[in-house]
Amino acid sequence: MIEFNGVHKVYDNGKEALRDVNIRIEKGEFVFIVGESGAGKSTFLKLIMHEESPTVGEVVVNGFKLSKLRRRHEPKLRRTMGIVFQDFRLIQTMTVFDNVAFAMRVVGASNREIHKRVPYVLSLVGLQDKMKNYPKELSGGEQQRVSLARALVNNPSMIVADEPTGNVDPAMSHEIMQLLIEINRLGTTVLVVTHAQELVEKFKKRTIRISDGTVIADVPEGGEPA
Amino acid sequence: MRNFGYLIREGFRSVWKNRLMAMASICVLVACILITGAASLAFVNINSVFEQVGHQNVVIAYAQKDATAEEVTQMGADIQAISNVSGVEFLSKDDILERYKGSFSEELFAQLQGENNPMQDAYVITFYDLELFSETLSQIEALPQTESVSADDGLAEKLAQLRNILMIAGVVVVVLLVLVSLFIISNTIKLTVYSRRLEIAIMKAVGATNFFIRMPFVVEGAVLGLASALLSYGITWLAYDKVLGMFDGAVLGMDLVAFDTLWWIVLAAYVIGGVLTGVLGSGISMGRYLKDEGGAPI
Ligand SMILES: Nc1ncnc2c1ncn2[C@@H]1O[C@H](COP(=O)(O)OP(=O)(O)OP(=O)(O)O)[C@@H](O)[C@H]1O
Ligand SMILES: [Mg+2]
Repeated sequence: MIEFNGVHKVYDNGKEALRDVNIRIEKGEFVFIVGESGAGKSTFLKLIMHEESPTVGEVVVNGFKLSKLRRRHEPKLRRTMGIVFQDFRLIQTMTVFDNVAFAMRVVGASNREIHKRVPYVLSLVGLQDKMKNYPKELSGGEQQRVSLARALVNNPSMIVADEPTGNVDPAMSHEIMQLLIEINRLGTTVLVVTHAQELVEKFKKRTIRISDGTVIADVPEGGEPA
Repeated sequence: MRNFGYLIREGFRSVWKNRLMAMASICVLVACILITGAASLAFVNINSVFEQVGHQNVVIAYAQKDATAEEVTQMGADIQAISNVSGVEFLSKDDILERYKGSFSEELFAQLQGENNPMQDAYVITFYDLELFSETLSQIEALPQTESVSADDGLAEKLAQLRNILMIAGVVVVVLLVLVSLFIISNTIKLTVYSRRLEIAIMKAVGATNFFIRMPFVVEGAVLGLASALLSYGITWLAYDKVLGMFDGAVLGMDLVAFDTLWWIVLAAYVIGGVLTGVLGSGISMGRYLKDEGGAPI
């Protein structure tokens, strides 16, 4: 569950990135976040991840009041969410397997659990044959899927994805979106920032449109895009 | 802690990945350890030589001629009771006479036996702390049974003063070197931290605690420190025996300290010092990084 109550975000340089945002996203929802470049979409996600703090207002994520979150409790919040990075953020010196296993080691999983779970998650994203490869030996789309596998591997209650289809061809973006929808069907909350209008139109999920820091439309699932 | 093996492996991996930088910092650390070690070992030997000189420089207290046997015994006990006295050895007037046997003709020597013995009973005394030399000396002189005390006081006190100056200089040098070592190590770790910025950001994004992030760097620092300590130990060992050989094992006629009696202290000091410096150095740079960079995952 995510709640934005009267949130304003002004960066140190005076740039007003978000203005009076009031949003509620329930557990198990699937939400697209759209808007022009510089609209404030990444800022929106950064507030959820507690990378940035609101200048005014309160953000509540999965039961954590972020204004009251101590630095040392941050890992607890982060463990409730899987983050997919637009630029993959894979560790170049680790194999695909280790890149995904890494996220499990961080939360203290045993080697047995890791060896059971990682191949399964990699098979979900169609990469079971690339486990021993290094990121530089993969195509952009494949790397994107490793990044997705890493976000999924700890079975988070929420997936936050900043343009997960930014570097993939239309067929592959469709596949990735299909996977996210499948994961959402199993109960995970999914937030996807995207520029791909055709995906938004095709899947007809709840869509939040941000323009110049303001939420200008919030279209519910199945509704007509604004 | 199921992660421990993994985190330690990661530390070693990082040393290997940054092996050029690791080698450079090991070289600097070895230099620091060697200078510290050389200063300390020199000090140990100077100290030992001084001690030997000091102990050769014994004090002899003579009892009054007419003192009774009980009084002489009492004097021995009184001297022993002075806290700075490390050893008291009774030298009877008969013993003293015996020593000078060669200086007398046989008839004279025979006449001087027993009642006619011109010598006085005496105590050969050694001190713990030569700095308190004159103070302790006057305490002995003040005893009622003491007639006179013979001692060469100037030398002992000067040696003690010289030793103190050397010690202070040594401590200053060691402290400076420790600071230099910390600076070097923390900079090496800082480089590896920056080369692994992305990795750290990803760790944070998936919910790693600061302990988890810090551990491999601490291991890296400890490995650098340990490697430097062992290398320095080998060099010290070889060099020490060489230097001892050059002096023929003695200075001013006093024995130098053999490496056999020092090796484990040197090894322990190097390892503890090296590893602590490594761990502290990496702790410093990691702490600063985690504080500055905060929790930024993107
Ligand atoms: N750390 C920052 N400091 C100052 N200004 C920032 C910072 N991050 C973002 N901004 C500004 O805030 C505004 C919103 O940025 P944001 O990254 O949220 O946009 P976005 O919607 O994600 O854009 P894009 O689609 O291009 O990724 C932009 O004008 C940007 O320049
Ligand atoms: Mg963005």
